[in-house]
Formats: sequence, structure tokens, C-alpha cells
Amino acid sequence: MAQRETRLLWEFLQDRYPDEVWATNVELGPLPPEVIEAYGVTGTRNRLRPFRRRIDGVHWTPKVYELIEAKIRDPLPGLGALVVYQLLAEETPDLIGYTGQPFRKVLVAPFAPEWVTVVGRKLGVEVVEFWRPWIADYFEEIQNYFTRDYRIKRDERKRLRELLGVA
Amino acid sequence: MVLSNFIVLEEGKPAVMHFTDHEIQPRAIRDSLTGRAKTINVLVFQVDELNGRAVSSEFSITAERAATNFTSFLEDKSYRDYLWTFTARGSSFQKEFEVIKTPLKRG
Repeated sequence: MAQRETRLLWEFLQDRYPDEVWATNVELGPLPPEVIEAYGVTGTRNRLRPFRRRIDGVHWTPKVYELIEAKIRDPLPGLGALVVYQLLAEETPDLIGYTGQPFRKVLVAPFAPEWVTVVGRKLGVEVVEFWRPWIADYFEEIQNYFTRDYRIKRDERKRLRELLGVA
Repeated sequence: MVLSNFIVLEEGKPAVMHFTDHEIQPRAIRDSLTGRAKTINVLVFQVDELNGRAVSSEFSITAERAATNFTSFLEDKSYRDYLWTFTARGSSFQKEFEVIKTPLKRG
């Protein structure tokens, strides 16, 4: 998860649930019973850590368990991931705060084009538009990245690096 | 009160902390890959509670990504209103933190 998306997620969680429990970067996925038998849940979790998926954030109450992904530039991977993450969450024995509540999938994005809302509805994903002023600066930054002036500067830097042998 | 000057996270072991204050400190470090010395900014929290016990300690976050997450909590120091559970997983560049924010129960 990119640094800015993490920030967007934290700010969203704090804005929407200031007085409630939430967690970020949460591991999802089944833990094989035979490995748990040998190493216990914690031991198995540590061993399988590199192979498990991580969801950006979760928030739970006694009534609902929310699976949350944040995307700034392209919401498509977030929509797809949430569908998979719910399937994984259903098979996660060590899912923090989970006591059998129904799942709700939430995609957080600065803005959502119509297709995202439509597809989200069909996939059962709540799409939340959440804007922060710093996102405008970020978009300006990435927009400039592809401009002629920026390309010239980048090529000049590259040329100097090669010249100085610091590539 | 337990005396420990710095809190070091053990891999896979959650640490539940309460922060009372923070500052950004410049720290001189040696890059483990290049061997070069450099100065980095570190977000340092003062900790008065660790896993339910009173402590007087510090918890440092060097990862810019992790520190950035606290941006909205730093200005008004609203991190004081919560317990923070950090669980470190992996090491070096592979290190990840699972973070749980729990509101403090006020009687």
C-alpha cells in the first residue's frame, strides 16, 4: 500500500470512527490446522506471514465488520481486492475483533467516477468519496511528472548521473 | 513504574502503548547497506503506559510511511485519547506494522 493511501486511510478512519476501534494492515487468510497443531496460532502466523495477504484496514462493532481498502489513483484494484479479501476474511481464524458479524466491504477514494459506483453496487462494495486538501498537491505532482518540462529535467538529471558515475 | 528508556518491538508480539507527548528528533544513523552516515528525522513518542503497566519510556518511529499516518493526530496531540497497539512483522525493508487504535475508556 502506497504511503499516501495509508495516510488517506488513517484520516478516513479517524474522521468516520473517531471514538471506535480500528486496525490497519491486517493479515487475512486461512491457517492450515496441521501447522497450527504443530506451532500454535502465533507460531503458524509468524511462519506464514510472507504468504498471507494484508487488508488496508478493518473496523468493527458488535453488529458489523468492515473490510476497508483505500485507493487514490485507480480504484479498480481496490474493488477486486475487496471481493477476494472478504473470501479470505471468512477463512481467517485469527481475524482481530471478529465474532461472526456480517462483513461489509468499503472502498475509500478521493472521488469516484460513475463506473466505480455502479460496479461497487453490483459487487456489494460501499464506495466512499473522501477528499483531503493534500491530495490536490499530489495530483498536481503526478500530473507534472508526464509534462515536457519535467521530462527534460529528468533526462538532464539522468545524464548528469551517468556523467558523474553515480547512477 | 517500569524503567526502560526505549521501547523495542519484538516481532509478532503486540505492544499496547499510551502516548503523552511527541517530538520530531533528528538522529544520526549509519545506513546498514551503504555504510554511510546520515541524519534522519524520527517521530518520538513519550510513553506512560506499556501493556497495562506504568512506564516512563520512548517509542520511536523511523519509517516515514508509519510516521506520516500520525499526521492528523500530531497537531492537537489527539493520540493521547487512544491506546495504540503496534505489532511488528518482518525485518529491515520488509518490516510491516499492524496498528490498532483503541479509544481510552473514560469514566
